[in-house]
Parts: sequence; C-alpha cells; structure tokens
Amino acid sequence: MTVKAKRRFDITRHTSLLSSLIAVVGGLIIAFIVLMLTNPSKGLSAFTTLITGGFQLGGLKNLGTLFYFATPILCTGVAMCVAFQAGIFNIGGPGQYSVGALAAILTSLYFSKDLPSPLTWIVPLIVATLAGAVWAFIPGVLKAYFNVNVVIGTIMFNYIEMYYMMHWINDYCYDAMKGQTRAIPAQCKLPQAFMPAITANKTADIGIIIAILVAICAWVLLEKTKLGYELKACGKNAEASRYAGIKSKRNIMISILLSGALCGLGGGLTHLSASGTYITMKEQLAAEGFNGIAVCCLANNSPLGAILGALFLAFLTVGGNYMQIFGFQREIVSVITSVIIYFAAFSLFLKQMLEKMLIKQTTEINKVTGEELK
Amino acid sequence: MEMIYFIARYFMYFFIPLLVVSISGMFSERSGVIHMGLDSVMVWSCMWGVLCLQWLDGVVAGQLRLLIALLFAGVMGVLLTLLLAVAAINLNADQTIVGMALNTFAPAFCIFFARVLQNGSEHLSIRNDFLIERIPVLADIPVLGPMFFTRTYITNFIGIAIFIISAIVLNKTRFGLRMCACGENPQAAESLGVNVQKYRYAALIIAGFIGGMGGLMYILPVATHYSQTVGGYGYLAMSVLIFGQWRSIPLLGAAAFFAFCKTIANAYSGIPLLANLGLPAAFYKSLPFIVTLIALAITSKHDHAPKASGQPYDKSMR
Amino acid sequence: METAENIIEFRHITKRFPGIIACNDISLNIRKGEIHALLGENGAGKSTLMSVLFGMYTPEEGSIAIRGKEVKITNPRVATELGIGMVHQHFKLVQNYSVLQNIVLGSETLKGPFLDMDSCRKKVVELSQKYGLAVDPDALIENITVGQQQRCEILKMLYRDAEILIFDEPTAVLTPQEIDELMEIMKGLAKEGHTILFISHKLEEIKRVSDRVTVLRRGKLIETLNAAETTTTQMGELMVGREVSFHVDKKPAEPKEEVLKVEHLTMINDETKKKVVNDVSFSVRKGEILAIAGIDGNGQSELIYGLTGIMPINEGKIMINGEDYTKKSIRERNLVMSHIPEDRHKYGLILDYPLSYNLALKNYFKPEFVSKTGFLNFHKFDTYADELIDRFDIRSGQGRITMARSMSGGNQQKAIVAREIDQNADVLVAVQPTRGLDVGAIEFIHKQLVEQRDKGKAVLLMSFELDEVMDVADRVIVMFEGEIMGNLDPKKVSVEEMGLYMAGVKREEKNA
Repeated sequence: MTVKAKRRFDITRHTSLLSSLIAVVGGLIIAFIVLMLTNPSKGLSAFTTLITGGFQLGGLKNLGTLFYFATPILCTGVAMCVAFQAGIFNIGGPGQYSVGALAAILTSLYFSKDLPSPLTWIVPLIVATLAGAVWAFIPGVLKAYFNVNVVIGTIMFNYIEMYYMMHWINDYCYDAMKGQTRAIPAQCKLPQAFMPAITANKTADIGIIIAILVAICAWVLLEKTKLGYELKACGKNAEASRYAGIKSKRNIMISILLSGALCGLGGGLTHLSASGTYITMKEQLAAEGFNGIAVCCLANNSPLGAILGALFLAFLTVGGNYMQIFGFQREIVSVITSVIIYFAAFSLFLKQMLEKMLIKQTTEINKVTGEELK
Repeated sequence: MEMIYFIARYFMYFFIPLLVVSISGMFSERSGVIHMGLDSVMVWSCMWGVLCLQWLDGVVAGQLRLLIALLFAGVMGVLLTLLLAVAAINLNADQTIVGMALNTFAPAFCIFFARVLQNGSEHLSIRNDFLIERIPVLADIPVLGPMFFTRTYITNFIGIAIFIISAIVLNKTRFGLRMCACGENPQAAESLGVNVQKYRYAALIIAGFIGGMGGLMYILPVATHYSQTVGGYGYLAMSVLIFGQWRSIPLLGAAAFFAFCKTIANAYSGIPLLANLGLPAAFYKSLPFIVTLIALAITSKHDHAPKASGQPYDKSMR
Repeated sequence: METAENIIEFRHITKRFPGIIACNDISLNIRKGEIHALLGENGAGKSTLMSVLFGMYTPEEGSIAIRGKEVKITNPRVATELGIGMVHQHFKLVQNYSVLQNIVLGSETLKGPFLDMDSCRKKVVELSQKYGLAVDPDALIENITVGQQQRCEILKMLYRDAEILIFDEPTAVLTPQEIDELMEIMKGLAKEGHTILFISHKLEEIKRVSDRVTVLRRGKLIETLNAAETTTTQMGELMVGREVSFHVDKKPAEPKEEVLKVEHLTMINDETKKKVVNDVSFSVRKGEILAIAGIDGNGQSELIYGLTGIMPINEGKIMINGEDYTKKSIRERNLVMSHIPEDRHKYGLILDYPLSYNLALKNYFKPEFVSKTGFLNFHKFDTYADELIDRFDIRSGQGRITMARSMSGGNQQKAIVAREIDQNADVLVAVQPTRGLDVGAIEFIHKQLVEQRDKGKAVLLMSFELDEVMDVADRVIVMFEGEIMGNLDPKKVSVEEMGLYMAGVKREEKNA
C-alpha cells in the first residue's frame, strides 16, 4: 500500500516537471519555425546559437552576462510566485520594477553616496525595495477593499508609471547628452567580490547571489511558516480561508506588497549593477517585469524553481543577443517567453492528461495481472 | 465653437476604437471566456492592417483600400484569438494567463516581424488619405454637421454600425440568447442541446474579428506610423467592459466616458484652459488610467460579470 | 414478450469514472405510461444511469432502445429529439434570464432573423394552464421560489413535447404540501400518456406515487418490484443491503443553561435591499439540538453566515456564554463556535491542500502548531492528523498527505466533522451535514451530533431535509422569507403541520 502510494506521488512530481519541459520545448519549436520561415539559409545556425547561449562564441565571459540578465527576472519571477501562490495576479511587475530602479538611482545620486561604505549600496537597495512595495500598494488596496480586478489595477499602474517615469527622470536625473539617466557614483554600485574571478567577466557583481538568497527566503516563507500557510490557503480557496478566520484582505495586502517589494529589489539590483545600467527616455514598459511571469510559469509557482527558470530565460537572452550576428532580431526570445507562458496556462490540463496516460498504463498492467482498480 | 467641434472630432477618434474593442471583449466574456488579450489582438491586427494598407497602396485607391485592410485586420484578429479559443475551450486553460501570454507575444512578434521586413526599423509608416473632409448634405446640419460629419473617418460609422448590430445580435436573436446562456450557465445550455464549445468558438471568432478591426481603427486617426503599441487601449477597453457591466447600452456610456478622458489627455495642449494649469504632461497622459481606477473602485463592489466567465467548462463535470 | 409496451430498454449499461464503476451492467425495461422509481443511495448510480439516457454521458458498454429501436444518445439534443426530458436535481436554469427565455432556450421559434417570443409565450401559457403549472413567464429566475423554478423545469420538458420525463430527486427542495402537488402533477402527466422516471431515496414518496420501483446499489441493479406489493422496510433493506433503521437513537434532551443567544438579527442583501433575515431571535442551550428548518432560500444560510461572521449583519445581537460576539472576528468566533459549513468545497476544505493541512485549518495558529518565530511545527501537524484520521475513521488513498480533492465526498465530510468536533467549542453549528452522503455516513454523523449534545454542547443544526430535522432535533425553528414562523417540538408536531410553517401559511403568534 505505502509503496504504491509513494510511486503515485512521484508520478505527479514528474508530470509537473514534464509539463514545464513541454512548455520549453514548445517555445523552442515555435522559435525554430519562425527563424526558418524568416531566413531558411541561416535559420538553423541562428537557432543553434540561441539554444547554446552563445557559449562557443563568447566563452566563459557569458556566465557573468547570464547572471546579469538572470538577476532581475529572478527577482520579478519570485515576486510573481509569491503573488500567484496567494491568488493575486500581479501584472504590475514592470511598474514596480522601474519605480524600484529609479528609486535606487535617485537615492544613490542624492543621498547614499556620502554614507559609510556598505551603506552606499545597501541603502539604495532598501529604498528600491520599499518603492516597489509602494507602487503595489494602491492596486492592493483597490483589490482588497474595493474588489477591483487586480490585473486591471496593476496594469493601470504600469501605464501611470510609464508616463510619470519620463517626467521624473527629466526633472531629477537626466543626462541630456546621452538621453538617459545619469550614471550613479562608483561607490554606490554593488560589490563585485569574487564574482569576476569565477565568471571571467570584469563587471560581474553579487546581484545574482542576493537574488538567489531572496528566492530561498521566499521559498522558506511560503513552505515553512504560518504566513506562508495562510497566503497559500487564500490563493487556493479564499472563501475557506475566511471561514477559517484568516484575514483575506490583510493577506492580499501582504502578498502584493511583498511581490511589489521583490520587483523593486530587482530594479534596484539591476540599476546598481557594477556593469552600469541606465533608464532610457522611452515610453516603454520594462520587459523584466513581464518576464517574471514566464519565470514563475516555468517554475510552477515555486521560488526555488524560479532560480532555474530565471537562469534558463537569461541563457536564452544571451543566446538571442548573439543570434543578431546572423541578422536575426533578439525579440525572438520574447516570442519564446510568450509561448512558454501560453503553455503554462494549460499545464494543469497537460498534467492531468499525462497522469491519465500513466494511470491507464498502470491499470492495463493491473488488468493483465488480474487486479482491477476499484 | 470651433474648439468644441475640434474636441468632438478628437473624441470620436478615441471613442470608436474603445467602443469597438470593448464590444469584442463583450462577445468573448458573455460567452464565458475572459479575454485579457484584447491589447494583443489590437497590436497584432493593427500591424497586419497597416501592412495591408502598404501592400494595397497604388493598387487600390480611396476608401476601398481602408475597407480591405479593415477586413484583413479582422481576419488576422480571428487567427490570434483562436489561440485563446483553443486554450480556453479545449484545453481548460487559465484564461488570464493565456491573455497575458498573448499580450507578451503580440508586441514581441510584431517588432521581430517588422524588423525582419524592413531590415532593422520597427516603425511601419501609414499613408493616410482616408480623411473625409465633409459628407455632403449631412455636414450642413447645424452643430452636429461640423461635429460628426466633417473631417471624419469611415471607421466612425462602421464602429457605430458594429455597436448597433452587436446589441441586436445579443438581445434579439437566437444566437445571442444561446451564447449568453453559455456564459451564465453552460451546464444549463448544454442540457438543452446547445453546443457550448461551438458557441464559445463562434463568440471568440466574432470577438477576434471586431477586435482586429478595432486595432486598425485605433491607429488610423492618431498616428502616422505603427510602432507595436496601442497605448494600453486594450486594457482600457477591458475596464470599459467592467465599468459598462457587460451590457450593450451601459457600455456605450462607459466608452464615451473613458474616451472623453483620453481626449482631454491628448488634446489638453490645444485647450487653453487646461494648458494654462501648468500640470505636467505625465499627469494628462496617465489621466485615463487614473480615472479608470477610480471608476472601477466605485463600481466594482458588485460583480455583474457573466457567472461562468473564466471557468473552464468541463463536460464531464456536473 | 413485453417489448411492445416497453418504451425504454437499457441493455447491459456500464459506465465507469476514474476509480469507480458508476453503472455496472444494468439492464432494465421501462413500460409506456408508468411512473417508474429508481431507488438508491447517493452514489448508487441512479443519476448516472439517467444521465446516460439523457445523453450527458456515453456508456462504455451496452446500448439503449427507445420504442423498440436501438438508439445512440450522444448528447441532450438527441435525447430531446427522442422525446426525453429531464429535470435535474440541481436545476439547470440561467439565473438572470426570464422563465420564458429559459424555457425556449435551445428550441427557439424565429420570425425572420429574430426571436419570436410572442408565439413561444402563447405555447408556454397554454401548457402551464393544461397541467396546472402556475408560473409567471416574464419573471426572472433569480426572483422566483424554488417550487416555481421546478415548474419552469417541467415546462421546459413539456415545451419540447417530451414523452419520457426524468425527475432527479425532485422533492428534495419542496415543502410537504408542494410535494403533494408535484405528486398530483406527475400522476396527471402519466395519465396523459407520459412515461415518468423518478429518482429518489425517499421510500414513502416512492411507495405513494410510483407503479414500479427499481433498486440500485453500488452501480448494480438489485431488483425491480411492483410498488404496490412491497413495503418501505423491504425497499430500505434492498437499498442499503442490510437491515437499517432510519431512526436516530437518542435519549431525551436535558437542556441546561443558554449558550448561544441571538436577538433581533436582521440582514439586508446589499443589492436587492431585501431583508433576507428579518428580526430573528432564538437561543440554544447546553445539551440540546436546535434545528432550523425551512425551504432552501428562506434566509437560513444567510442567518448561519451572519452568525459565524462570514457575512456582515445589519442589526441585532449575538451573545455566546453571555458575552457579546456581534462585532467579533471570525477567528474569535471560531474559538467558541465550530461550524460544519453548508458547502464543503467552497468553505469546508482547501481542496488543493493535503488532508493534514485541512485538519489543522482551525488550529494551525495555536502554539502547539507554530513556533514563536512563525515556523510551522510539521510534526504536530502529522500526529494531529493521524489521530483524527484514526478516531473518525477518515479513509483516503495516502493517509494524511492525500490531497483533499482526491477524497470521496463522504470522507471529505468526515474530515470536516472531525476537525470541527475536535475544536471542543461550546457551540456546534452543523449546516446540511449529511448532504450527498450514503446511509452509513449519515448514521455516523447523526450519532456524532447526538454525542456532542450529550456532552453538554449546544448544537445548532440547519437542514433542508425534513426527515433529518424531525429525527435529530430536540427543538425546531422554522424559517420562511427570513422570519421565524414557529418554535416547535418535533415530537408534538406532524410533518404536514411543519409543511404549513415552511410554506409560510401558518405562524406561531407568540413569536411575533
């Protein structure tokens, strides 16, 4: 009995993984088709470049680039996991991310550059985190107390951010020569520690380590603590949670604030990075925010899985950049991302189908041996 | 007076696509499928519409070029919406996530495609010779004439026609009765021999077609080139849908309200009263979004959404 | 032999669902013009068999012949064309459509491209007059009573000229008087030449109305009997497979002091502005079971939600052990009042949590279950779950790690009952605690309720099943349109009299 139970438990775990894999493969197949259609002669080599992340071309140096791309989407991915698990569809990633980024830049330019050493970058990071939470606050209130659809609420805040961002940059930190935000002081950038040594990339910094630590903390929070129990309960069945005395409004607020904070942190980490990143004057929503959704979908809403998901997407991004050598546009990576999200939308269905297939097989075996499933 | 005419015409430019796209959403949601991807349908179809305009330039003249492009945009809208249909109807997908997938897909693909097509630049230019200076007879009506029948687009009238036809279809025909039953109680509809899947497909095809046309309708009066965005219009249309409580007539009012905000946002610099207030441009630009949130906060307390919308319909469940 | 008069023949029907065989090789003939009852417990397969006949499910094996001709009923449309109609247990009505719209949906008449509602209305009015099915064709479903909704469902079948009428548990939602009316309507329909299939687990009704009765048990056909030649006892034994007494064994109650006291409770629906609960006052004492009876939709559910804090109340006071609980949070109420909720999937369980998490749903925040730093004590979760599983005999595939979703309805309910009873709260609120369960589970839960009473708890039972109310309760209050119609002793009042209270015809004056 116990043996059988254990085996079935394993099957479901495998099917989760399998449905993520199907999503990835599906995304890659679509990418391949698109590449072949646009330029049949170079399509194959471009595709190879894409899926090998350009490692042959760039060598180890790309590990640093990989981490650089993975850091923000890991943060936003974990942010989505925390929100989704609590049943909140936070699409406000782009807004929260950008506000965090700007907050980090402004703090380092105007305030923290004169502080004692580690505080020069820690303070902007904290401010970025808080700023992300602030940007999530109003959609949270609207959802919790006014029943406003959280997708609409957060989307609206993305657009409000998009328009105001230009206004703020223009007023406070515009570098007119380059058409972007001013460079932050060197002492405010993230420490590099041993990272350049192990990634063979001079500009690598500890951003990815912070992001991974945050992902682990988020996992512990969701899986091991009372708050996590409550958040997930709300996400799985809000009515039953209320019945059990869990304060659903409070939980909506906590999850969306946490989620916003994580997005803000992602923005902070990216824009304090040692390699130097700037916000350009463009009416555009930050892709890092939306890519978090894909990371979260790949990870099946698990913050630990998000680490893998983020590294994978970053890997593709690096590959996509190298693919431009063949005259292909790197937007193909976003196309893959969207296909992954698309597949994730019916991963439950895929999972059930896979389970049904597996169970059918076992029942057929059982039938042969004469013991029928009751 | 000239100012009011100017605002009225400007208003129509925003009102019509908003109305049309929210009607597209209404078809989808009344049949029981949440359509979070309205924005993507607009972005995607708009590109195909613009491309079609380019292809036909010099081949077909005048309004016919626009009409063909509109039809083409509609057909492409259907294609994209079918992705939602398959996932939502056959694969029991989480419809919100599908919508987000489409919203990620459309702009990325359109940038990719436009760059491939033009070797680098993603902006597609539009040669717009569709403005109708004045419609004979009608333009001479006092007040209304200069407001609605001078410097207008044929799309304005198509939009109104879509509204009227859709209201009749939903409320007076067998198709509407059955389709809306699928959105309210699919089990009931199925038990009376209504094929829920078929009706949902039909609804989504209509939604895709209307939404696709809406994409092209949006860009025509307001831009000279297409750059893979419709300014969050799809999301605004969704808000209009909620604000209009998924019903035809309230939808008209809701669309008008939001279009008015959008008009203010875009035309404020031409209105001395507003231009002199000295508020930042960002404020006006984000005004429609802020107003949307306030409007939703007031009206969302009671949910009038079709009861089955967003829930996968599984025949084997009772 | 009798083929000529057999309007339906089920031939070796087998229908499987994952994990169970709902119908196992069932062969059955139905004669034209008879009222044929299908008797069985929940899960015996009677609804599945009828759904197969109505084209909702396709059987894996076997076939069906209608009027002697073998047919493939692949969907309800085919069934309708064959003259088969069905009134489902949970009505299949579109809430915001009118009665007329619901009736014509799927078989509309058109005038040009548009709906021709006028001619439809004429036909509906004719039918409703002919069969005595009074209902306003233009009323919205959400505004009419359950009895009227049922008439709408019957009209739906007749509108489609159905000859074979299936009634799935039609009496569960009606007052005794409405049941009488329905029986008359059914007999009238049979007289007009309709064949009626009638699903029920209520022996009395079957005896009263049907010509023949077929007993199903665990998916198998046990026997077909002539109703006139059998007794309810015999039918009961066949249904359950053993000797059963449907009577609950209990000592007379020994009520002590008041624990729960509700005073002038009023609840107003936000949208309709109607008073769904109107000036309700009652109290429950230690050591008694007070039942709230009434037809579904008369404010009982809202009253319970108001009491347990799930819905806000507009006026009135809730006192527990002399303390005012009107403004207290759900969590605070949970500590003194446990609650077996009406809808176990909506409120009772988190279906995608494992059993152990669900069993701890009301305890997880208590010091034994969580450390001061906020980390859960999983060892306690496990031992606590195992203890309850053992004590209440909750069965599931993988013990405490089983997802609640994959458990059977009876065991899900047992898990809720176990959790709520183990709260050891002074008040136990049980709402429809036995809905959808088989006789064994029903017996178990009734025994638990009586046991709690005898331990000195105040038990508040809300049920739509009049039999349950009469059997289990020591005292009954009847609700109609949000008001209490009477405070009665089930031993002194007859079922018929109770029905008059439930229908709002009779009212105890002293309560006013």
